Formats: sequence, structure tokens, C-alpha cells
Amino acid sequence: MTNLLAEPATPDNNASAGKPRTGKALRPLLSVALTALALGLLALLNQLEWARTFPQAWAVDAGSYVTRFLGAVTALSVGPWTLVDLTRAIASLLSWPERLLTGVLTQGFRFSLFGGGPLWIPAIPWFSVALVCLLTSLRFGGKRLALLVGACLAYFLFTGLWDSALQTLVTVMVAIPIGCGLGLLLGILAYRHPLAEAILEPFYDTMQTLPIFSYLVLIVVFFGFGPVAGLVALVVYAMPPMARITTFALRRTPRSIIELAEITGCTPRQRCWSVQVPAARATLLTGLNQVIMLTFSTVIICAIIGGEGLGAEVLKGLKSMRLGGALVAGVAITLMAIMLDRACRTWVMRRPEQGQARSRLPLLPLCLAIVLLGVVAVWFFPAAAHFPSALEFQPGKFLNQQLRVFNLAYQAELSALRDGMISWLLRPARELFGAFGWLTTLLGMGALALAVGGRRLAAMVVLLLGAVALFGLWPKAMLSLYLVMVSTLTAIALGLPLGILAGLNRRAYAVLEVFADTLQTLPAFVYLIPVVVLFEVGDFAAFVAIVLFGLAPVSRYVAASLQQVGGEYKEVARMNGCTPLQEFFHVQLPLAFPQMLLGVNQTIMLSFGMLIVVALVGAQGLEAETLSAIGRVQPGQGLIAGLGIAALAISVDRIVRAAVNKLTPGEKRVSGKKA
Amino acid sequence: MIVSTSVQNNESLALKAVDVWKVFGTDCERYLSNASQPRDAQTLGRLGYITGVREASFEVREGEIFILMGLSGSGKSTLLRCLTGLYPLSCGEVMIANQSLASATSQQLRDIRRRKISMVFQNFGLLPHLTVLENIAFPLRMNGMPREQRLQEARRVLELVGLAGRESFYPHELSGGQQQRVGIARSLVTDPAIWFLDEPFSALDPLIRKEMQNEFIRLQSSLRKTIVFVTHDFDEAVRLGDRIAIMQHGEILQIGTAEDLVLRPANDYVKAFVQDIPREKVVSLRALLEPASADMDGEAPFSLEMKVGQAAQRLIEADRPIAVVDADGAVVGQVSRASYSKWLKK
Repeated sequence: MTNLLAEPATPDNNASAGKPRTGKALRPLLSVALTALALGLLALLNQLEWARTFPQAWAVDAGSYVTRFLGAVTALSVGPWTLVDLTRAIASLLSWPERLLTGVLTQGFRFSLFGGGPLWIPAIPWFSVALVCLLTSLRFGGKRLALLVGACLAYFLFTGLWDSALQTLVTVMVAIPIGCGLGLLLGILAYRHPLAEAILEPFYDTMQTLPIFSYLVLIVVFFGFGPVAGLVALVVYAMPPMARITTFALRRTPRSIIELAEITGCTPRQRCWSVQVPAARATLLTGLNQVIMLTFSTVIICAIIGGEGLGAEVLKGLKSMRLGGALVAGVAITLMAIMLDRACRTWVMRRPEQGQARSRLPLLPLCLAIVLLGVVAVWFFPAAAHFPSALEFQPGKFLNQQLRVFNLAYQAELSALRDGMISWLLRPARELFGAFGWLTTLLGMGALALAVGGRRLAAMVVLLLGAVALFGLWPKAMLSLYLVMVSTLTAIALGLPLGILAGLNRRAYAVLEVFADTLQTLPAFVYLIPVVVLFEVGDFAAFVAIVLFGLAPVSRYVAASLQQVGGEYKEVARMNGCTPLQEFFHVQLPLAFPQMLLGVNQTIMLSFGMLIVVALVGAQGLEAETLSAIGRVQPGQGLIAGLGIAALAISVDRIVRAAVNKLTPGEKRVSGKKA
Repeated sequence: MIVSTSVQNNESLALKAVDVWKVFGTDCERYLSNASQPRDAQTLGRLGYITGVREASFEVREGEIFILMGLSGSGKSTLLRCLTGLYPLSCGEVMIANQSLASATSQQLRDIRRRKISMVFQNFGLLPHLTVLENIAFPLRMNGMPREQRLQEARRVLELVGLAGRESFYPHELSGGQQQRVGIARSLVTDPAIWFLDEPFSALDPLIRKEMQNEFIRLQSSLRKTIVFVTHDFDEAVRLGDRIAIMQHGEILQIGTAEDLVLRPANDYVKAFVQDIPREKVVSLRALLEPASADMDGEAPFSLEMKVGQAAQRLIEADRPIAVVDADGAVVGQVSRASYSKWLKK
């Protein structure tokens, strides 16, 4: 319907060509009238009590149904074994490689042989690990990578976080191969069987928007608390992106390579494993790299259900308000993520070259020798196993003191700022969202969806939001929506000028990129730390955290979309005598606008993801519901609240994307139709 | 240059295509299976079908170089893919070495591909994760040949295409010409009966293209393969091919030697297509032939199949007509400066 309106009437487009001209002139009038009518109706609806607040009698307490259902599922048994026994068995299987690696890297092995005295094989000491890391990075990545790795390792050592860091490394090293392996298989499955893809795709969609907390509860139910549950969470988290990237990469295999496989008489299996997967290697490795970065961002969340390592350190610090310590550990996570990212990238970018086998350094024997010597050395001098604690310094304590001093000094100003923002921005916004009843909002969103995306989209949005209302989540959902919208809009208001500046000026872009990189690799939790310190818990702290979190992506997307406008367009503008301002408003901005809007959309999605994190500092929407469900082990309630957030996120996402599509010049739509 | 002998009819066929159709669209097989349904381009287009190949029938004899030629979108690559089974036929039949492609099971098809045919791709289709030698040995690996043996074979072919010493290079370390040499070597390693080449030299620079064409001619002079060669370059077709099929809109307009096409174009499209080729390069002395006379020069006679361009210099310089002999050495007539100038004026 909307397409017909947007396209000029061509002779063979007889449906619209047949209409008399007067119809066209009337159209705007008609639509104005219709809009006015609709608005009036909505306003009237808003007066009705049952349309304002969703009647309690209609609500379905889906949460407790799901909890009960899950209870029944866990109790399901085959013979003497229940389902939970099975999942716990898987858990203990998973814990083996983790325990092995932990033993090798941090704890060593103790066992008694033939009933004799206890035998002790020490773990690889810190100096051996560090040396091996340095040598490997030097060999494959050159001096720059070695320097980076060295600096990061030094940070871990001097802050006394070495053991936690290695623990995190172990968890990630176990979780990623499993998650990526499974993801690869699923991705291949989806590539080869369209039906499998049709089934898996909605799952991935939901999992990506579903706050990780809400399936954390499920994991607790099936795998209990502890490091293994954390591991499982990471595996589950790493799987969908890897599967998606695999399908994407396989689909992008050049046609000649597929035909080569056919013409050499490959069986389907040979074609997959000997041709397509190796040929897609570069894309797959890039995907792996992304998965690693994603995994690090969830390390802290996994600590909530008992994961160990740096994540646990951050959480411990947050809980006991030793914020300095939390900050130091948070930075350590960032450093480790950056370190692994760069190392992986070097590995990905490295292309095989002839005669590579002949390396300058006999790397493997050398490393083995270092490890062996280290272990033997520790055997004789157990004290060498640990980094001398005299050299460690506790930046956490120092930071704590400084923060306290700062807080005391600026108490008045900070609370003035907070109170001002609350009474001038947050409260009015909240009241605005509250002023509309559920039915009005539902129908309004539906109408918006209809206008930008057509009937299917409208139906979907109404269904999703209707479900939110039906499950009695509406008031909380509006709290979540209000928080996300207000903070995203603020982030956009602040980030847009920055982004435009960086988009127009190369030097500013370089500076922005460094900042955005750093901000974006920081785990979301780390944003909470300064916010809590400065503004205490509450709505405002949550608001500030989301704004800070959204600032980097907004400005980056805006800058990137401006930079993407091709040089030839700029030349066209200049050759037509545009002033710089004209060039910006008439050429760059219109061309970059759809891209920009997509970036804004991404930011909104990220903010929805951040919601769950800010629940820890006092946001009160659906996210608080999810969080408290973990504590009370009520998986159903947690899941339903999480799905509520997902429903909101998906609705907003699809509406914005449809709007972007509508704004993108016609060319794309026409080609899309042909296909 | 490969001698374009007139192929004897009693030689066995390597490939036969009968009424091959390739139509893209749902359920097109069923539509085409009913012969009474109209099959003209307009009807098919109205039904939402896209026609890749319409009604292609031809035969390729053993040892022949058969060229499929046309502009982009003419259906030549689609036809090639029908001949190799990469695209299932919508209708019709292809026989390769007395085996039917249309009725072959996937196992049979795989066997044909492993033993009987091979293909060279326009964009080389080299596997980026394998070295040159491993790339060449790849078809043998799919066949289950042990590693040592297949690398041995690959090394042999590698020398054949002049890449000795590059065994352990990776594709991205080679130039375009070298990469296509690897592609050629890989397609020869199984010693196929029929060799399909899909615009093998189109992605190369003109100078390298010329060099590769010469290389191809050199290889073929010792290998004597049956070849189906796709190109959009008429010069290339003339240089390399025995017979040329000119395609437009998925249809084969005319099949013939370069000389046939130039002298007797079937329609205006073919005429326009062959217009720019220098005629003396494709027309043989047959076109200048006069009855033998008494004063002709019998010493070092011309062959009947010799191109006019090759004979021109001597024709202009000679005072007497020069004898022309057929393949058996029997004098069939003469050519002279006069007959040459008469031909030029035509």
C-alpha cells in the first residue's frame, strides 16, 4: 500500500494511473482528516479507565505458569535419572577441561601415587607463562603486539590480579571452542537446510535481544550455581553469533569455488569440509574474533551465577562498595579483551606464505623448554610460583580513598546536578509516558508501524505489545521504555554534534575512534562504577550510565555514516559551487541520513541491553523484575520479564528499520522487488 | 596455430546436445515437458520464466575445439553449465562419452566429473588455503588418491604448465596469469576426456591473455583434448577454435568455422558480429581458387586450407600463379595476384 503511494504512476501501473487527477489533490487533505480523527479517538480512549490501566482481571500470570512448567520439566525422569541429573552430568563433563587448564595454569596438581606421600606438580609459573606469551606474540605480531601483551601482563601482575586473569582466560578458552564449534555446526546446518534456518533464525533473534539475565535463571535451574554454570552461559552466548556468521560466510563462497567442488566430483560432505569451510576461513576467523569480544563483555554477568575470575572481582567490588577494586578489575577485563582481540586479528590477517615452515625461531621447542624449566624451578623453589607480593601495589585502595575525598568535596554540586536533572528532565518524561494509557500507546505504536512498514509490521507490533499488556507487565514495561528513550535521546543530543564534527574532520575522527574503541570495549558494568560513586543508586544513576554507554556508538555511527559518503559526491557538490554548509546540508546529510538512523537504532538496541545492567543501580522497570527473579530462583517470572524487554526492543527496532527503508532512495526498493 | 582440419564425419562424438533448454523459474520443467505448449520468448517471459538457453543442439567431435561465443547475457556460460551438469537441464539431453547427463544419478554424475570432464573457471576458483601443488592435486584428493601419489601427479602437470618451482606458493602470491596456469593444471590432472573452459583468459591483461592463448595452443598440440571453450572475444575464438557457435538471447544462431561465419553469416546479427575481423585471417585460399592453368608455379604449392593473409605476401610478389593442393597433395587449382586483387575488391 505504501509502495503504491511512493512510486510515480507509470503507464503499465494501471491501478493508480486510472484514477482521476482530482483524487491526487484530495489525498493530503484526506490523510490529515484521518489522522485528526484517529488522534481524537485515541484521546477519547485515554479517558476510559480500562483503557488507561490494564485491568488486573484480564492479566495472565504467565510467569508462575512457566516456573511451574519448568519445575515439572526438571522433575521429568527416565528411570532413576531426572533431566536435571542429565544436565548436571553435562556440567561435570564440561568442568573437566576447565579444571585441567586451571590446574596447568594456576593451581598445579596434587595427587598421591600408590598410597605414597602426596605428589605435587606445580602449575606453570607466572614468568614462564609471560615469557611464552611474549615470544609467541613477538614471533607472529612483531614488536608492537609484544609490547601490548607485555604491558597487559604487567598490569595483571602488578595489580595482583594475575590468578583471576588466568582464571578468566581459562573460562574463555574453554567456552569459546565449545560455543564456536557448536555454532559452526548449527551454521552449516542452516546453510544446507533452509528449513533448519527458518526454525533457528527467530531463536537467534530473540536470544540476541533477550537480556542475558533472563536465560541466566534457566541456566541456574539446569546447571546450578558455580563456575560451570558461568561456562555454560558463555557457551550459550557465543553460539548464535558464530552460527550466523558461519551461514553468512558459507553463503558468500564465490560461485567458482562451489562449481569447482561440483566439477571435481565432491560429495556433499567433501564440498562442505574440504572446500567451503576452509575457503571461508578468513570470514570465520573474523567472526570468531567478534565472538571473543562479546564473550568478554559477559564475563561479569556470568560471575553473578558463580563464574570465577576477573568478573567475580568486579562483582565483589561492586557489592561491597569497594569501587576502586572493581574499577581496577574492570580495566583488567578490558585489557585482556583488547589483548586477545589484537592477537586474534594478527592471526586472522596473517596470510600463509610459501616456505613458512622454516621459521627463524624454533618456537615450539623453545616454549616447551621455558615451561619445563619454569615448572622444575618451582618444584625446587616453591616461592617462585607467585609474583612477589611486595611488588604488587593496590591501586584499588588508593582509588577508593581518592573517590571518597572527591565525593565529600563535591557533594553539594553533584546532588544539585542530580536533583535538577530529575525534576527537569526525568520526571516530566516519566509523566509523559505515564499519561497515555496502555491502549492508546498500543494503538499509537501500531499506527506508526502501519505508516512506516505496512500491515504485517503493524500486526506484529500490536501482538508483541499486546502480549506485554496481557502478561501484566505494562506499567513496568513503560518504565523501561521511558528510561531507554530518554537516555538514548540524550545520548543522541550529545553524540550527534560530536559525530558530525568527527565525520567532517579526519583528525577529529581519529581522536573519536580511540575514545570510542576504549569506551566500547569496557564491559557495561564498568560504566556503573563512577556513576554509582557520584550519584548513588536510583533512576538518575541508571540514566547517566545508559547515556555514557550510548555516547560512543552514536557518535561513531554518525561519523562513520558521514565518512562513507563517497568522494565523488563531494566532488560533485564542489564542482557545482556548493559552500561547505550547502555541501553538508544538501549532499552529505541526505546521503548519510539512512545510515545514521540505523546507527541510532543500534544505539537504542544497545541501551535495551544495558537496561539489565542498570537494574543493579536502581532502575525499576522490567529489568528489576528479571534481576530479582534470579535471587528468588523464579525462572518463569525472569523469563517472561526478559521476553517483555525483548518484545519492546524488537518493536522499536523493526519500526525504526522500516522507517529507514522508507527514507532510503527508491533505487534499492526497486531492485529489492525484482529479487 | 592449430591446424583446422575439416573433421571427418566417421570420427566418434565426444559430446552431443539435443534440444537443450535451460529456463529459470518454478515448475518450468513441467511446463516444458508438454511439447504442445508455446515456447516463444514472449510467452515464457509472460509466465515469469527467464530463459537461459533455448533449443541448443550440436555435436562436438573428439579432439575438436568447439567455441561457444556471444556477448554477456547471451547464455553461453549457462549452456556450458548445462553441459557439465552444474545446472540441471530444464528439457533436452546431453550425452557425454555415451552417458546421458539428464538421467544420471548424482553418483554417476560425480563419477563423470571425477574421470571424464574438468573445467577451468574465469576467476580461477583456486582454494585460498591450499598451496599451488595442493590446489592442483585437489581433484585427485576428492577421488581418494593417497597423498604421495597425488602430489606426484600434480608435480607432473605443474611442469607441463611451466610453473615448476612454485609448488609451495599460495594463490595470492601469484600473478593472474600464473593463477590461471594453476587452474589449467588442476583441470588437467585427472586427464579428462572433455575439457571445459569458461572464459579462462577474460580476467587477464591483453598481453598476458595473448601469452596464455599461445600456451593453450602449445598444450593442446600435445594433449589433443576435446574442448568446449566459452569466450566473448571473436579474435580469441578465431585463433583457438575449430568450430564456433554464436549465441544471442540463449539461442545458437549459427555453428560453423570462422570462415563459414565470415563468408556465409546466417543473419544480420552474426554478420555484425564478425564484421570487424580481418577477413584474410579467416578466409582460406579456397575463396580465391581458379582452375589450374599451364603457366602456374608448381614449386612449393599452397595448401587449400591456408589463410589468405598467410599467402598474401608471396601472391603479391610472385609473377606467375601458384598451385594449390588439397590435404592429399593433389593439385586442385591455382591462385594468382589477379584473383587476390579480385577477392580484395569484393
